[in-house]
Amino acid sequence: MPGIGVMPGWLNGPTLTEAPDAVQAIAWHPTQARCTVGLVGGEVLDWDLEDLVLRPRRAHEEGLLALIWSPSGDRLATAGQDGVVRVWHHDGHLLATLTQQTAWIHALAWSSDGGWLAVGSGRYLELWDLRATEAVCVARKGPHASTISDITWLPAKAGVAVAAYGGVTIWPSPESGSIGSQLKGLLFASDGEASRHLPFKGSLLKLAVSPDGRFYATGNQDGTVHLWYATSGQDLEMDGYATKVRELAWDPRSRFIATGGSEDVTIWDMRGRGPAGSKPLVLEGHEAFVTALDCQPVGDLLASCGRDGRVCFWRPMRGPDLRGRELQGMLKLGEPAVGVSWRPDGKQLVAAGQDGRLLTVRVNR
Amino acid sequence: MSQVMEKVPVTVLTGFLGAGKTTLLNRILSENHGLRIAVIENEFGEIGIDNQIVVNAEEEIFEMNNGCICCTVRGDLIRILGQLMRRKERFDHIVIETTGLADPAPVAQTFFVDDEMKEALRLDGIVTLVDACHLPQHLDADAEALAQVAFADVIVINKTDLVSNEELEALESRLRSINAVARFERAAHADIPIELAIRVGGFDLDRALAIKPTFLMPEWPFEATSVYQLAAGRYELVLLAGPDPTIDVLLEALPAATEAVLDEAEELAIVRFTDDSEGVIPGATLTPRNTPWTLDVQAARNVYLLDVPVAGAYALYSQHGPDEFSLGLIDAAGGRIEPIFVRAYDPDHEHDESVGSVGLEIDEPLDAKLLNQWMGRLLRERGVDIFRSKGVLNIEGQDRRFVYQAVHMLFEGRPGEPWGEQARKSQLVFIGRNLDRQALMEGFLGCLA
Repeated sequence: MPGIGVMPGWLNGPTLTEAPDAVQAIAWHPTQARCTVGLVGGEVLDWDLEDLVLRPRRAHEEGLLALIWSPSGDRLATAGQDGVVRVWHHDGHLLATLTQQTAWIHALAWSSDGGWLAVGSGRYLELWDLRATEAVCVARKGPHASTISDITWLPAKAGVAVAAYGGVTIWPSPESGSIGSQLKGLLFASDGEASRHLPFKGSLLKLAVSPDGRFYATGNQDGTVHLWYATSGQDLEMDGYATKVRELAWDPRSRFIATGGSEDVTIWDMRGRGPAGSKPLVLEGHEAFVTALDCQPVGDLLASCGRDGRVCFWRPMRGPDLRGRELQGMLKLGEPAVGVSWRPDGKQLVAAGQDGRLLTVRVNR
Repeated sequence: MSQVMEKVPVTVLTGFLGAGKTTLLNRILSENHGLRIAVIENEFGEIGIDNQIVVNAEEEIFEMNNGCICCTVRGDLIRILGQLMRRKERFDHIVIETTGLADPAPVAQTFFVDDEMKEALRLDGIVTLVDACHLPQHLDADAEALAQVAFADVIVINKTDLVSNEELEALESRLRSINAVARFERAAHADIPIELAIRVGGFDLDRALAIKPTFLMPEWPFEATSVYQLAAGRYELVLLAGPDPTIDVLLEALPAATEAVLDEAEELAIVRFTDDSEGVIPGATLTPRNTPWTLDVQAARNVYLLDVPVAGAYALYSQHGPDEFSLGLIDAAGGRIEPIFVRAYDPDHEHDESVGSVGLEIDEPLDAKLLNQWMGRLLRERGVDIFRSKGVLNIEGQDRRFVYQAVHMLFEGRPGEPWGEQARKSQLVFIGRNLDRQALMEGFLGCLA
């Protein structure tokens, strides 16, 4: 059983399982009680959260780097150090193998309708049309200044935002010839050119667009979080982090963004005029660097995990105020944690450790 | 909780195209050395060879936003190594190959700036392969070649079969004038033992710095050494009046009267020669010992007695050339003894390379705070020009050595081995462009406790 730190009544039945390898990525199926766990060595585990059975299969010859479920849950995409993306039917059979490049693929993003997959293949963004049986690469954009570290579709398929060294680049959506109407006040995109570049002289590691589309946020190698206002392109920077920042999580209602980059979770109020000049809410509960953050998709909880092996639960919003600094609950994984992820309905959570330990807990709140 | 894991050593392999890096890498991958090694290079996609792994890396060099203009790191390495370290099967060693023209600084600095790298990996050292045939041209033409030599902890002079011994000596001497603290290895076809090439210990300063005393001196304290083979007995040392009223000499026994033995001995003699000397006048008796004599040579002819207790080889180090004083050694029978050989020293052994090394040594303890201030300021102001610096330092009130090293402006320091019975002293080495020994020494002396 997991060690128990602070376990309130609404955390039920925490259970530990061991995966045969270190965990690289976890992705909940959008609708089922099922979570896919990508292992560093190239296997994926289909984890049934009803019967707690792990079903392994090999996805990549070399290491696995990313995996993501399509929005409807009909397909899973995985990417690896072998330079290919594999698209799998939800029952586990292989549908397609994409790209012929050798570069490592760190970033994948499905469009909201599941018709398109954006792939960061080395320094290039590839846009794959997966609407027909035959997958087609309709665009290969780049090279960016470095290997692409993260990709996000903008709301309403208004474009694809790519993070790499030197800033965020926004490419037009493959479906719209003219995206000017959707991106007010921006440079107009001619074919093959980026519609917009948001510069920042640094190495961007993680990109998170606020659910309401107002902000682009990046966590950076130099221990900063950078923010851009989507409409004006104005930017601001939050610094003072102890280490590089790869942990970003937006409140589903865009009221705040939670950031890691230290032993604390730092929360910035993003309402109104944004965080310029404000003091963040600092959540102290970890004894080593925070490694992942995830906001409850339905509800007010924030989960964090760290190298101390702790999985902490927080409730940053107290009524209308961003003042909830008390630890709400805490579980111990027993080894440095690498990931934490809420089930889309917000009723269950999984956390994963660097040596393959998996924790799941039900949350009735 | 998981146990604290041993950090995996990383060796950086640099060298111009054609220097033999590929040959050495192939040996690292194919030889049966029992180590599980990951090689990161620029040519292949990821391929597994036997038990080894090769990962392709595009050199993605990032500037860091830390107000340090020379601080660039390799983003691709942070990404790739971070990923490799997550694998369950551990590596015994990681070798990073750089492209021929690469500046080694971004690779080395990567291991200073990233927490994840610092936690899991340890930069073991920088190995630079040079082509004995073509390096001289590169040194003249390319700043990168100079930088690769300056950064190195080990310099492997390869293709030695293609040059004469004299050319080889000249090349090594030139490389030493740039980088005086590197370990030198020679190879014909990159055929040096793998262990020597990848177990470098260049960033492991727990042992003392391998600084040669010759390198600590701004110049040689003596102009000549006469090496004699002498029987036991009494001799006369005769000097005629010369340009100076006195001359310092040091007479020491040598294990053998050979050039190689003198190579070793003269390093120590340099230190001894600068010790306080004993002033004597003609007629005095001299004996072999490890402190120098100051001989009065004001008369037209000055005769000193020399007692040799046992037969053997002896070195007579003299402040001035023997010719200037018509120095001669006469045996009891009145016969003149000719030296086996005489080695003359260039009084100014500074070379005209813009990149060079300066080594400083002081015995008195240092004040930690003053040292920190001086070093911080120095690296801030001169960090662009100072490629590497290393030190093993004697801090007042500390039982342990303080070991320090830097790549440009990024430095780290930590307590090293206890001093124990060993003589406490501080050694500091700078390798860089346009270094001013005098100014550096003054700054160093300003840190005395």
